Amino acid sequence: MNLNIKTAILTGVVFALAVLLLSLRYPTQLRHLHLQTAASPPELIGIRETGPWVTGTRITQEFSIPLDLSTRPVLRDTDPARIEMLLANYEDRPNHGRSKVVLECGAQTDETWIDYASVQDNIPHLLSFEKIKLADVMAGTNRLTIIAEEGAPDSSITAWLTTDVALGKASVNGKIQEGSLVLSLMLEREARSQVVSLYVFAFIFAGLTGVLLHAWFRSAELDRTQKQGYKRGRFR
Amino acid sequence: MVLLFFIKAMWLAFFVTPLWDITDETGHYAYALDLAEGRGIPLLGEAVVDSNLVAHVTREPGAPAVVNGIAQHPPVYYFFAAIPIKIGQWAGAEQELLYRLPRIVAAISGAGVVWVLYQIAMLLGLGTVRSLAVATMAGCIPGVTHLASGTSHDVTLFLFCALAIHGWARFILTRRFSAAVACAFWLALAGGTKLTALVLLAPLLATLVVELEGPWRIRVKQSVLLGMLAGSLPSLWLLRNWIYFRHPFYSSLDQYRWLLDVPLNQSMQDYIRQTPALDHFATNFIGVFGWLGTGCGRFYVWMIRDTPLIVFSCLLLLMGLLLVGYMVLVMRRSALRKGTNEWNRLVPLSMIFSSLSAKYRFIRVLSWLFGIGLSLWAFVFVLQSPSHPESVWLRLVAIALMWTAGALAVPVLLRNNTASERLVAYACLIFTFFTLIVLREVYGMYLLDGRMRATWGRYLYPVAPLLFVGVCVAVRDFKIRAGILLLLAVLLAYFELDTFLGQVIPFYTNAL
Repeated sequence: MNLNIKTAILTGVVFALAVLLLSLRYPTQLRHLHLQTAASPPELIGIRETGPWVTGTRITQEFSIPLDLSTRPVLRDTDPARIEMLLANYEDRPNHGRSKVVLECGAQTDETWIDYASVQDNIPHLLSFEKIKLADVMAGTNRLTIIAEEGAPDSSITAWLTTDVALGKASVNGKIQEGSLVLSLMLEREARSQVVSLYVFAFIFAGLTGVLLHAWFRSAELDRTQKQGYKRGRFR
Repeated sequence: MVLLFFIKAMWLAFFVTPLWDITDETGHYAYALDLAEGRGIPLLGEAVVDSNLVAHVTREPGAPAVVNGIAQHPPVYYFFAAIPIKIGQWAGAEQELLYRLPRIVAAISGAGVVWVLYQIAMLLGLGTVRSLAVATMAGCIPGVTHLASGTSHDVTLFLFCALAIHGWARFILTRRFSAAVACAFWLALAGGTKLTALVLLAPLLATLVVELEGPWRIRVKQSVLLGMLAGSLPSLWLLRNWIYFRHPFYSSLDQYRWLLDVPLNQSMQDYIRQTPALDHFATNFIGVFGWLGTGCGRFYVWMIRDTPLIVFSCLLLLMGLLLVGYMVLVMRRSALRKGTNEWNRLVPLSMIFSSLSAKYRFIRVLSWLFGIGLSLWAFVFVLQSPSHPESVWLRLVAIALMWTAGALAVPVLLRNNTASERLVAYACLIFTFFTLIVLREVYGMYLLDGRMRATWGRYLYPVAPLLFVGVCVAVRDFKIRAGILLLLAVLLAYFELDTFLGQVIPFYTNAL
């Protein structure tokens, strides 16, 4: 087979393998682009929490999103917005109960529920507000209110507070806290830019492999020709 | 290969690396902008990063301008970086694009580095395939690729130093004076890019002078010429500093308010024991990402970790092993070699040492003990570092091995050597000298500030080509097969891809 064709085929195979391998290795990162507007990076989270969400607990947090959409062309106003909140279940204790979470974004209001049994320890909990779009959240100050409808001290959950209060302080049962809820605005959408990066990087990787293989094949071919030449007495 | 590196760097520069996520990118851009807009070379203390740029970084309209400490650097890189800005302004490019345009210079420089490293490998007789493989490996270090995608002078400095080292190696191997002149020329440009290059310039120039041949009058003339050429641009910068600040080495650190009123009273050993400085140098050399862009004005970085870090640490370890192995091989060879070679006759110290060691066995033993003693010290010194994370020992042993090669270079240089043996010995010695000077500098900052600072792996770019020279000669003399090198190159290329997709891009997008 012609050397160039052989190299081209091998490069193509390497490209396909790289794409396949990386798609399997990073399925989540490549499927969705999770843009977070965290109140604080996790490293700065303090050791405080709101206290157990027992029946009647009321927590409020006002926040706005410091996100300049003009610098993020991958976002659109109509993208669905979701909120992630860092919760804890007291070291995987089996809990039961529920809280209502109300999100007010300007004129738009929506609510959802947190089932205590579904909360994982120290893992951000995703709250979906079907009516809320990115444009609503970006419009100005938003208010998140948590109302615990059902929960006992030994079987309820809690939320972490960050010491970074750049977004404002949280209030628990009307008392202002020296911290804010660890919130992230999740802009979940198809990660096109990440997928394109995958293809670009896989192309470069395959290209490099192709260049190296081509040089190797060519050098081997030259060696072979030289040896044959010696056998036939051409180079004596 | 060079084109692929360029495409990779350009893709990152324009579509992946967020603005201001390259170290000091705001300051570098502001400096280049000053030149592009005809305001001349900015003066440290007066130069600022203007409020529009600060507002773009922090996303806070009306943010005040901040002092630009980057004005401490000589202007060579910024003249190049100003060109795309000027062209962009002339073409009416949007602001977002204007901010990214000077990144092209680093991308071209990065591709140039790969090309020059390939040329060095060819010069050292590795042949096409092995040269391609080793140059590819160098171009797959995620930290280098990352910096090649931003507005920063580090990769351009890397390029100038690589070109200087190419000329230097060519001179030692071929004795062509034109190669020494080329080396001095690129050293001048490196010194005109960043004064760190002076720590490389001095020993490189010294070796050039030592290696000159011919009647002593001609050698003196040639030495003066090389010195004047290499020192031309840095001297102009030092003169400027003296005129404005009455201190040739005046820098932003002289204006910095240190945190401590009373400096710490700790030894260098305490510093190594209490801080992960050595590991940070090695890890940051492999890859550190982010700056102020992702954190919207807050310092927010990601250091490479997990499997890619282990793989690239293994590369450093392998390099260290090759260098030490080669130095031991050279010591063994030179012990077996009889008589003095031409070079030894040229250098009085070496000549005396060679004739004495030929006569007295104990001198040979002493030289071995000297090298081995220094090597042991390097291991004891380095391995006191904190032992976290788990893979840290790979990098610490790699550093100890590289310094060991530097220590062994001293007795090697005092014996009978061939040109390529001397080349590696010089390279290891200069690398060790440079890294110890850098370490001493950051230790000094630690005493004044009370915290670990400035442990950036990019500070080692000026001497990285020296390591490359040593490794190439070792690869050649140990007859490492092309197939093994190709496999290694492909493995590293894959793990670079893995780093960007699995760590860097998620870092940029998740931590908005």
